[in-house]
Amino acid sequence: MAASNQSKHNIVYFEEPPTKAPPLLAVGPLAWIRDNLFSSWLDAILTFLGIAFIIAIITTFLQWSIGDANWFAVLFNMRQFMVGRLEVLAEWRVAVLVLIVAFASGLAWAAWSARISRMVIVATAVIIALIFVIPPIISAVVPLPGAYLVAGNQSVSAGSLTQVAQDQLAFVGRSGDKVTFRIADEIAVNDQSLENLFSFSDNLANTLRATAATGLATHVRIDEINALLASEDLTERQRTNLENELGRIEPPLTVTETYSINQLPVLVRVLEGATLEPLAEATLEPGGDVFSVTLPSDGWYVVEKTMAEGEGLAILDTTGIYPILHRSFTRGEELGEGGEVVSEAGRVEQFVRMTDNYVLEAPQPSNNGTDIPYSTIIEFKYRGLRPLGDYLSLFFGPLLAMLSTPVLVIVIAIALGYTAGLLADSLFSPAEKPRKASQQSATWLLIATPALMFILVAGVGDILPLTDPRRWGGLLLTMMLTVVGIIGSFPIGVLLALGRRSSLPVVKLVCTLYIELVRGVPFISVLFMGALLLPLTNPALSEVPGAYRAMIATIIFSAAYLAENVRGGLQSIPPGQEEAAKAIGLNGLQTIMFITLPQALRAVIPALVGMFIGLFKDTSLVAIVGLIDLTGITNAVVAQTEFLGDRREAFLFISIIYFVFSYVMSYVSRRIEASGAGAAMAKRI
Amino acid sequence: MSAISQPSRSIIPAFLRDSRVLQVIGQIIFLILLVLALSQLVAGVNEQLQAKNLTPNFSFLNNPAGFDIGEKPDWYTRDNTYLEAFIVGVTNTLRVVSVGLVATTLLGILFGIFLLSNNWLLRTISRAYVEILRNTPLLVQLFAWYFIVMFSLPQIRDAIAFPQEGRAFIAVRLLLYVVVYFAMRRYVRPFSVDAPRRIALTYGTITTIVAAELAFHFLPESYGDLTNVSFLAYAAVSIVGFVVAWFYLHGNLRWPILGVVGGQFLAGLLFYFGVLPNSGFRLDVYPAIYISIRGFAFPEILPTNRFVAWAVFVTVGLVLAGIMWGYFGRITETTGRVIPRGRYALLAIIGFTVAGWLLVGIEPLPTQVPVDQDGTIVLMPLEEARTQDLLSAEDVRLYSTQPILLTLPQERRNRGGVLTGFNNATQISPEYMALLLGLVIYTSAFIAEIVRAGIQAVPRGQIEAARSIGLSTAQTLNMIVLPQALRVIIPPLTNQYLNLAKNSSLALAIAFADMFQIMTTTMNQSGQSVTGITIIMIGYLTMSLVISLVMNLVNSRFQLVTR
Amino acid sequence: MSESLVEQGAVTQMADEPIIFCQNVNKWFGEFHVLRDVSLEVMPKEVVVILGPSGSGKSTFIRCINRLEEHQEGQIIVDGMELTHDVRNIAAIRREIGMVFQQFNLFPHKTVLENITLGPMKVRHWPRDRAEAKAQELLNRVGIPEQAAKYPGQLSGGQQQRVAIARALAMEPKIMLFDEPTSALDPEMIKEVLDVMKELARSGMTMLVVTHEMGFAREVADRVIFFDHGRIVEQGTPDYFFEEAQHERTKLFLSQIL
Repeated sequence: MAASNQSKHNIVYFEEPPTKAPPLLAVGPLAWIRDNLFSSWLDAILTFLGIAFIIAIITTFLQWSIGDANWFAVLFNMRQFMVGRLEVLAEWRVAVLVLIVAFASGLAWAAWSARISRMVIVATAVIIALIFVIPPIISAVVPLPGAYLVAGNQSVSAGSLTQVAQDQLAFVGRSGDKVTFRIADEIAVNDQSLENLFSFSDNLANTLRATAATGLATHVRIDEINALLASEDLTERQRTNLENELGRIEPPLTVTETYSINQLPVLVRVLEGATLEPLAEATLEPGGDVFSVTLPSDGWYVVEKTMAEGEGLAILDTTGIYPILHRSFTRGEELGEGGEVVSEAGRVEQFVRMTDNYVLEAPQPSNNGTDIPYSTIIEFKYRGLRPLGDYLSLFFGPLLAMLSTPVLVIVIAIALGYTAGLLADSLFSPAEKPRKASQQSATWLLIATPALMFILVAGVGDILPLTDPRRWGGLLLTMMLTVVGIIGSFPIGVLLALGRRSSLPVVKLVCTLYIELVRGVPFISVLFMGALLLPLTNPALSEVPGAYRAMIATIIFSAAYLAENVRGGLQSIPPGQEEAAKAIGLNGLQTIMFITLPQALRAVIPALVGMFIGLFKDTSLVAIVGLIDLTGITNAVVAQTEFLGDRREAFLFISIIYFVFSYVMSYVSRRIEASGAGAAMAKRI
Repeated sequence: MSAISQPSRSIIPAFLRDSRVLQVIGQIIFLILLVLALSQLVAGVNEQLQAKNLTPNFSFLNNPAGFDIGEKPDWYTRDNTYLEAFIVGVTNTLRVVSVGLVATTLLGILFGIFLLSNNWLLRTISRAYVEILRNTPLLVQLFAWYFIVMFSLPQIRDAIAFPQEGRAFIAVRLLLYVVVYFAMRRYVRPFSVDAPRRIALTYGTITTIVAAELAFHFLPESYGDLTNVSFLAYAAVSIVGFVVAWFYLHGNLRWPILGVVGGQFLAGLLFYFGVLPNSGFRLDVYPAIYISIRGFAFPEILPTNRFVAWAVFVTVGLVLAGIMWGYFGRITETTGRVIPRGRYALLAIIGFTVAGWLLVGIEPLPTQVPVDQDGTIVLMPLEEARTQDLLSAEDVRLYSTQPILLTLPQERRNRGGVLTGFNNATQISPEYMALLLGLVIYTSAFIAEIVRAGIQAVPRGQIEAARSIGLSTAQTLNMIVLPQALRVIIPPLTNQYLNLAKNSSLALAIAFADMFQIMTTTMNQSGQSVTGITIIMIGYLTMSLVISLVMNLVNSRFQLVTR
Repeated sequence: MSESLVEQGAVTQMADEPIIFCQNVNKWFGEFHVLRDVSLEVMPKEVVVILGPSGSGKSTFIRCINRLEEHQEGQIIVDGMELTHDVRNIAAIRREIGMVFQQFNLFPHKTVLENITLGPMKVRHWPRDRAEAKAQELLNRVGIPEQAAKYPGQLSGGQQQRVAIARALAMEPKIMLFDEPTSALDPEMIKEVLDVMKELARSGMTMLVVTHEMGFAREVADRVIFFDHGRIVEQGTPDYFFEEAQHERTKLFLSQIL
């Protein structure tokens, strides 16, 4: 038996078997794809569904963002989003604050993080260069979209409204601007072409477009209903409903024919805005040439477009006339010593040309006391689907141009901080602790920053006049609430945590009661307490601005959560630590200060950061009690008539801000956790 | 013995250096300071409130509220008291929280599992879901759900209906394919042990369907024309199917396959010659869900007067199933004989449910019923009363043979035929939906992370050990991974539940009438802010306490089970 | 230098007066009677080794001596001060007693140097220079001068325990308590710790050592005490203890351990 086995298995290798490359699908990108995307049938289906989902999301977003969204709502309210209604005079202080923070983070980077690689430096430089280069390229290559204006004497009724073309329209021009006019023949061939009148347009042009579009849609609907009625796919109920609907529909008019559009010549005159002196005039014929005027100076101009004879309408295709945003506000008062008003600038009327942010403070042109209507942003909304070029020239370029200088300055501040850190280390740090100097200075700067923030924003004494806390808003207020919440709740929270672990039953009971009470109720109820009950405790407190009351509420609230986190950290410290501290003679307070608390705090850094992210997000609730933090100001922004209903844009924008800050915080926390500082410094060098 | 020497004379008497005395003194001082501070506060508040003639009390709760509530039960009017208004608010809060807890748990578990998926894409999408939701404020999300999503829903006249109304056509042809599929399974599966046969099987099924579809779609206008290109294609597909089957298969498999292919050929011919035209049946489909800016309309579920009797049957079935489960389980344990107890238990439940449904329907309905016609009570045949819509809500429940009535939303249209609303529908307001969606989706992101961390916390060695003693995947999951994971998951999950409950107070921001919003209105009207805030806090504390208690019970059960 | 300091501490005492005096010390953990009428006198410069099975109360006893645990009955007088609830006495006594733990209990967030200087600087209010000089000297003495800048987590167990001894010595105590200092160490590290302890004993430090190291007890101890069920069963010189022990329990214990 054994012999036969041996005779069967007598294969002997005389040579080493050669090392072979693994099969194609065992390593490399193909293998990765198979293992991670198509490991089973279900997996493959999920992958395809996922791809479809991502494509759907991205295309929907891009279509909306490029074609539809009114990003002016974000671009023009940037200041409000950032600082709320802060006095203009205090703006530079916020800028200084931002620079200090940037410098501090650069220093912190040098102190605790890995050295910046050459790659990162180059990439940053390239990005900044791109930010500076792209806007001029866009404005050179892609022209701004023109505007469609309607001239003529026939009234248009849409629904219950009857409109007539305005003969005069004021607009803001700059020296050297070329304004052109021509009759837009190609747009008024028929209703189908009129439906595609996508650009800036005055109300009447838009009404014509909308009427044409509705008419065409009605025709489509009639055909659809007829087809449905002819089919067998309807329930009885549906059939009745559709027949009813068909009975309700009135056959629409053909717009181009009804209003005899672009049949007659139009007289166009361009007037100087202040004096109404004519600059140039021309009669535009259908199918005729372009009439072009070069403006001599900055200021108001008026275009006059009339139809001399006959009855009809004409759609003019113009360039150089852009929507204008009207702002009216009180310029901040300057306060002298002792707080008396030195100068009061009073009401300011500003007209901002939306395409280039040119600000004009001259009054609106008027004709014998009646104001000449100007191209307001409300009326001159961009209508219809926007092509990519218009998106780039209207929003993308201006956005980058707006960001370029601040980004450059901030990056420089970070770089300075980083270099300062490196320099300090090479000069002052002892050999065994090569980063001691930068770490110490970064710590001090980070500790000082909140105080600096308060001093800079709120103001002290003569150099920095006091600002009105009711005007703090936007990201600034959100940040202040968060930072004050963190700093303020820290000592209280730590005390509460120690109190809850105390051996003294009364202290323990009181602290436990406080913590559990606060943690059991929603933040909003604590905010309401701050808003409603705080003034009741002392009449003087009712004068305290909402921002301060919200800060107090935030501290009261987050102290309880912080206490629980710290308590968790204290519990994780082995009891031997305390015993050892006692054994070398430290008293209770010294034991807490030097032994247990530092270790507990290090252990709970991730939990604390998580809590602070929560706090940062929760500050949005102050919007409910009427503060204008990032969320509150957004509600105010979308309530302006100019940007009414542009909620998607505004909320998307602030969501990105919230996300970036929260994500960066959690990223830093994960880095700290991974670097082991939380794990009792076991591996620190 | 040595003398006890004092280290130094001190002016502080010895008892003041005793740590026990010091502790007591410290606590007394602490208490005195606390009481002083609190009494100062309370006195200040009292003084101010007395000046405004608003001494805190609870009696104001009996005053008429005088405000309307958007989301209310039928009995509430503005003449009801503040207390009753508050009760409405509490009900609304509980409606959101209870549904929200269940939904967010399910969604959270789903995404938690996705986060652990082997599929990179799925994992990445879920990671993005979690990060985006966790890192933006709930309030902003709620605003988005309400002001953006809910506000962009269509007007009620153009309400989105699901499923779409219409007459659905179900072709007989489709049934044929089902028959082919099952025939293939039945006859070929037992033999299909090797790859070629399995290929032949797949091929046979696919060619049958392709051939029949070809015959049906492309031939009708040329019935009987044997030279038609489509017909040739169809014939070719059939013949190739036949040849492949013939050469791949041998012996006892040939004839069944031949039968299938022949049947397929025959089916195609029947279509081709119009013997089996597009025959089928039509089914009226009515929408069950309508979505519009005014809210969501769902089918109404109405327990009738016979519901209780049926519920008794169901309960008996459940109890019996429980007893069987336990009894058979014990038999299996003692004798080792395996009894499919799950199947028996299920059978008991289904049997009693169905039997109960039929039995409670046996009692006939009266043919003549009294109805209120223009103020006078008259007897009229039930059917007639029903068609004339004269039955009151009470009557509808009374005159039904079924224990539960499920009615689709009935469209209400004005004279012009425009949709204006719904009857017999469970209506849900957009405010409720926005709050629910916001809370559920926001919290689910946190729960997903908790579930992921919990499952990952079970050491890999546990799974390997379980597999090494021969447990199946399901058993490993059920008996080893889940109990250990749940021990890690439940405490933070409790926190998330508490957060959801507390966050429901953000209803205020989107004007959903929860207890917070109603109490805010009450405080504004009555000026009783101290009492109001106290009541609110007690309300949320109670809710938090109940959730904590329940979750602690669950937690302790898992701790016990796993030990 | 430290020797002379220890001697200075010793000269304040009359040579025939015990530096630790315990009489009828009783302690309970809840219902459990953990110390039962323990009486003990320790003379200056005496090295006392406490043996006993685990759970016999020997650790609890020495933890009572620097009041990490409170005794409930009886009297403990250390260096002329009685341990009562008097907060000042407790602080003063802890200053005079150094303690070394089984689990080292070094402070992981502080460097070795900071671990050692913390007590002198915060309790004795020494200037930093003096504390650091002392620390460096002690590190030399325990044989790890080069580890001053490291964190405890970077050291081996034996090194950590030596740092712990240095930390205790930095307070210039009159008495050192050792609570199973070698139990948590790997065998090859035990020796380096015991060597330090032997050197310390030779220098004239008063030491109370709870340990299972019989060799150490034989070589260094002036007196060996056997603890069982919360009381002192037998005590004597090492020679007596290991050769002529009388009590049944002692014999049983020795037979199991030797």
